[in-house]
Amino acid sequence: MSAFFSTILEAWQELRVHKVRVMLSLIGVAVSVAALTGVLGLGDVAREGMRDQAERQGGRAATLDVNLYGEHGPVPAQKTIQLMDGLTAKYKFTQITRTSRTSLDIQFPDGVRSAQAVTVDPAYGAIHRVAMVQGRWFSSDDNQLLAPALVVNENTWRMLGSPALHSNPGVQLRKDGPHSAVVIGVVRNNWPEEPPSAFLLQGAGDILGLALEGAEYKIWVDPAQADQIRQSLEADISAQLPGVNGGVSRMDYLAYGDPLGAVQWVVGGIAGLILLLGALGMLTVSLVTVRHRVREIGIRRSFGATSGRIFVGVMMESVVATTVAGLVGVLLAVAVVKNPWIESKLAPSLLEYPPFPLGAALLGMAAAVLVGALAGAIPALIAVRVKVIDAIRF
Amino acid sequence: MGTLLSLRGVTRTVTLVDGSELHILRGIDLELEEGDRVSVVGRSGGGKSTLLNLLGLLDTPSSGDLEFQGAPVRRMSEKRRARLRGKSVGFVFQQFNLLPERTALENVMTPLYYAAGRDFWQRERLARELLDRVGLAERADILPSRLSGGEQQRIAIARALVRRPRLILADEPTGALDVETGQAVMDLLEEVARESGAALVTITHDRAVAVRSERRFRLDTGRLSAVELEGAEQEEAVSA
Repeated sequence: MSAFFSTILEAWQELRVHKVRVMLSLIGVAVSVAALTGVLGLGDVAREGMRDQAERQGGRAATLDVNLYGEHGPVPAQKTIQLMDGLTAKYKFTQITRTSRTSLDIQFPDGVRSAQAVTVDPAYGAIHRVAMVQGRWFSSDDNQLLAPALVVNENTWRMLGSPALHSNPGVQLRKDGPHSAVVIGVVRNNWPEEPPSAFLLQGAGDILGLALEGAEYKIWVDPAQADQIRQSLEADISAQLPGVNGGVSRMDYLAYGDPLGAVQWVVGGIAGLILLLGALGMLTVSLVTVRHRVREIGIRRSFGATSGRIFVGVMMESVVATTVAGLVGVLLAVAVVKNPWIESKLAPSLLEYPPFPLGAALLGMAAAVLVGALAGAIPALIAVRVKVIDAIRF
Repeated sequence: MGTLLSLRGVTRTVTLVDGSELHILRGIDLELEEGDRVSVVGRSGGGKSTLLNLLGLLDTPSSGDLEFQGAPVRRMSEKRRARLRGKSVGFVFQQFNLLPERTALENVMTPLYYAAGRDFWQRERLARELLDRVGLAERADILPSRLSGGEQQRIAIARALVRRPRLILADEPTGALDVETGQAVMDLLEEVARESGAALVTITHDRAVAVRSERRFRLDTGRLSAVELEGAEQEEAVSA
């Protein structure tokens, strides 16, 4: 017990006594660790931002898109719906949505304006990871509402006068005569000047008598089975609708491999090289220092320090120092990555930023300890080979 | 008093680069009792350092028997010798060999980092007691570079004694001091050794230091022989 504490204490005192040398040699290590950890952290935020954006556009991994075209153009909506109802029952799909594009005339305080609209099923929210700015996404119960439920984008909500959603604000839709609808949720704009847009359930579209532009299906499946399911679906579709080939494709961001993975490896490799250079600098300083400390090591041996203790002591100096440097480096990386300005530039689409990745912090700390151990091992080996009396008279 | 250290027919030989053997120590016989006062004189290159290495358990003999408190040293592992050295042997060096960046108190505490249990946890109190004993309690927080030669050697003595060793090995303890300071340092060294009952072995070139010991030896070309005092030296030793 006391041997462990005394080794740590001794290493710490060595660092305290040689603080200027230690500080200089550790700046490189701290910067290297900050670079390594920071790159991984920034990569994580960027990846999360990109993933959010990509999932909102193309759906989560793996989302199969069913959009059927025959020899004479798109397959009629009714035919597609009938086919997909059968396939949904056959494959027991639970996360599936039909989407159709249409337009709505919305009564705003300053007049009626046309808005892009998409009719969906409740599963669309999970498949596209829809992030709510206010209110909520659709549930299956919303099909029972007398006044159709609407989820609008931020610009639409502002143009409506930013009504409080808890008061179930009504809005007049003018499509073949006025209809009342209720705004239940607000989603973020895809870009700042996005024109008014809204989501509504398929049932609401039927009530409003909206003219749907075709029927597209999105199915969220296990990525490991996505290819197999896609092939089976295509075979079923071809069998049931002769003349229709393919039509099922993956649209999610992982369809062709991780687009950020390679970049992160390259940047991580550069950070690793920086870390290696920091380690080499520290090794050089440690080697020079041990040569200057030959007499001191001899004196300590005369007091009863075993060669093992000297080895551990010299190595611990290095490890304790790089651990402190690593901690500084990690804190620096966290400060940079979690800076609100940097986060907003890196992933502007995110409503909530992910916490700093624990794995990156642990990797940074582990790298710092490893560098300390490697940079300390060689001087420590030299230190234990010192002949005591020769060293004392050095 | 019991036998502390026993050397019987001890030799130390090293093999040179050309393959030939250099006999540094030849057939050394020496018995050290607890509380003994022994001095070893000899020319440079006569084997004094090698003998010091053996007595301080820093090295093992090439042949012969070396026993420390009845335990054969040749059979001990390096780790066990280091532990025994730390616990039972205190070194005082010619150039003091204090750690320059550490205060007097930290220097005296240093050996206690290699001690276990109570000695480690109470290192500061023990070190302050020893500093007080050598009259430097007020200088505890001073760096060695700001202390005089005599003060530095007193710190070194306090450091050598802080683990209450059974054997004190003093390698030219007055070599870097003037005559008067050297006398004062030897007075202190002998006094604290007497108080603790430790054996004191002084290796020196200085006959004035050598004559203070109860037993005197000469080491010449690797052979140890007893030295008898002449009349004037006998008087000097008795009056010292």
